[in-house]
Amino acid sequence: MLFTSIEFMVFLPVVFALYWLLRRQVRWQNLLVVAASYVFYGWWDWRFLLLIAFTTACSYASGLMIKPEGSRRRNLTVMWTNIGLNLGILGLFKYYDFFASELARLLGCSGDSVMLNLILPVGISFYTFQALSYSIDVYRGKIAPTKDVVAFFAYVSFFPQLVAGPIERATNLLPQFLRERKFDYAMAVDGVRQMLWGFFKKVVVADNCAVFVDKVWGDIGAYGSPDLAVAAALFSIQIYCDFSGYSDIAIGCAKLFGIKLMRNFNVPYFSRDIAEFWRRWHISLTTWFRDYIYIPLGGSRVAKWKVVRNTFIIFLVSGFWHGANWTFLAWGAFHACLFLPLILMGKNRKYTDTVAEGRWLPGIKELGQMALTFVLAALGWVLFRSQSIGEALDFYAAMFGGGWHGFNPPMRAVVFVAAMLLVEWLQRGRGHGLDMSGVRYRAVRYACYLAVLAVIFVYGVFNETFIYFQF
Amino acid sequence: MRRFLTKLAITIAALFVLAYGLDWLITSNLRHSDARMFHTYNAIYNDSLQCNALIMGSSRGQVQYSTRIIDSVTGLNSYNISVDGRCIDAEVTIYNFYRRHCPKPKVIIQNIDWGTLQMSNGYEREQYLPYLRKDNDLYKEIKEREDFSWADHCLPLMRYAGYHETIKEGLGMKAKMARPKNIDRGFIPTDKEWDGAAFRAIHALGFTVNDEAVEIFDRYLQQCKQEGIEVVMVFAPFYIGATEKMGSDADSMFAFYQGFADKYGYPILNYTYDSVSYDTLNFYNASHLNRRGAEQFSLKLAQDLKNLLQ
Repeated sequence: MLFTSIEFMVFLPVVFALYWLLRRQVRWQNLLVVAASYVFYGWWDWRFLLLIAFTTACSYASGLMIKPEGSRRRNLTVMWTNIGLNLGILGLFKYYDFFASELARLLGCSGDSVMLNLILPVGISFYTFQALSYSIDVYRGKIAPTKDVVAFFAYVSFFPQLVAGPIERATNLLPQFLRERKFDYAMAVDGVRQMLWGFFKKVVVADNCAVFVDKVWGDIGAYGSPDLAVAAALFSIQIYCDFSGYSDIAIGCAKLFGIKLMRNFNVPYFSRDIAEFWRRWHISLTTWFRDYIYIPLGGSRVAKWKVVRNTFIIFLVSGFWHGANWTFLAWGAFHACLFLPLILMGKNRKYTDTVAEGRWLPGIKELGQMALTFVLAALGWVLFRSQSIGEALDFYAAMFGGGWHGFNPPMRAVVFVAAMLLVEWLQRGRGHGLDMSGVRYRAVRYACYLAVLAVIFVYGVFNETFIYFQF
Repeated sequence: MRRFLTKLAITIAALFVLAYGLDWLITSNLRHSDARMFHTYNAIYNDSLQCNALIMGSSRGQVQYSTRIIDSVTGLNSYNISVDGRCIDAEVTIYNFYRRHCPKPKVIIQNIDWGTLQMSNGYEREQYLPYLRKDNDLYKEIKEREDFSWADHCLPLMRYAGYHETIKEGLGMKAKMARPKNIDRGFIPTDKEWDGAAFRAIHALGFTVNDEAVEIFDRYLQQCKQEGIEVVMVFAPFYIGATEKMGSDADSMFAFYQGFADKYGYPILNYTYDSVSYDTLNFYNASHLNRRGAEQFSLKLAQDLKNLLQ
């Protein structure tokens, strides 16, 4: 079920009403969350419910089998068995065809004959990683294994964040399902506002950008350098608004149920270098990789060559997480190359505050740094958007070496992008663009809601799916 | 909780009232819009056309059949309900709409060509919006083909979401829409001269059919037959160079339609090789006659129709 679909507009109020009718009955509330989440997920393809149930059951069982007083060797075996099972399923559905066809090509055979052509279950990478984090954290002793199977199923399948994150940690989300939730008026109102902002970013900004971006990528040769540069910039905005819009809707929706999800994006395009960008982009995934891969490998507190190795590993894995294509690996490698000089010079944590904090406008230097970071990120997104490395190279060649003919930027999309960036700049110290907790006058608040609703209604594009569903 | 629900209920109720008001305003204005997209549906709905002959087709039907000339020669009282950019599915939809609001015609002049028996691809889907909520039959007929949901049919304003030009038009602002000034009972003469660029870009032209479209066409002819409506199928002039590019597909096309003509006993008039087809002065592109060509063709057609219908 899509957040932007009419079915969801019916589904959400019904689940919300039933959920709060069951208040003070945590177990029944959790059961409702599981049932609702399975309906939400099964709306695409009910067959994949078995897969998510299996993944959840494996992780739940592994948690129970890991005993703090048991032998380390046994616990390690249980954890790795669970990781193996989960990654095995993920690998089969997401990566088998890629590896099989590449291997067949290397051996000079036809790739088609060895491919399984399985349908990729929506959100498989998200819920797999969420389930994995639980058994790893139980093994590490960061969280006690739960015996409440319903709460655990609710933790893995909680519908707002099931198919595109944020990828929650058991340490944050699971305890919320184990205790009683109280309805919090301010939190619920803020949730509705955040959902509204998410819808604006998705259907107005991202999907209006998509119209131009798809057209340009559909016929790269027909466009001159300026249009291609605009398309690269607009895709950068599109993917941000598409994904962070989804996250805003998910986080806002969870707030309606008294659940706090982690922040997934923190105005990444106002970053002053690539390291800051990665602290603000898809935070739930980058911190997942940091905690479960990078730090166990030694992080940055090891010999220089290991730092280089670790940096490349984490960025390549991050790229590959997005999909089985050389373009994603190249995108990861590109960012590793940008990140490496900063970490080797010890400057990767230079900017941990919010840019221009306490000021209306950034300084010239900050503006230049943000522009440069955006341009570098946009160059990387070209790899991400292209279907193949060849297509990406064609795009770069045409963008840097093409003619300066026919500059026709989509002005409407540009205006929406500018409006979105302006709002996010003004609200950069807050939770989301429509956080109006500081606005005293009700009329002003309602005027803002109405304006956003009107723009969504008039200029929204309603037939696009979310980019990150494919991951 | 109570405070939240109360506020939410008040907000939703207020939005509903606003939505109903806006829906009424937009729909009313669109039903009187002179934009090409809405013109024919509005003419059928508002004017309850009193005609005994209908001209049906796509853009080729719209720009090539002069109702005035046909009426002056044949004595018929015709109206052209062709729809731009569409195929037989949309042509039959507007015909059914016509039948729900207007009296039965005696004759239908049905333009047929290489693109008729395809399914439309959602082009100018907005043309249905002003009538979608009230007209159950229209909704049932097009909901799957045009991808409309129950919310588009039942809820106020939903169906207009995202159609900013249509909303502007409905709010009485100047929307960017084609509005031909010289529509003559559905006929839209075009004062353009031959542009060979599009023709030169065509390497080959084929005749293919869509099974669903063929079924719709067959059902429509069957219905006409049962109701005693005479259907005259017409191959309008087509620039001869383009027909040559079709090669043997042209003959396949004639034979395919002849099958329907034989099945239902309806006549076919073929102007593919008429002298009008040989002169680029009569066309603005390979498949559309300009005003000059349309008037020449309409006169010939009218005389043939007169003989045929006597």
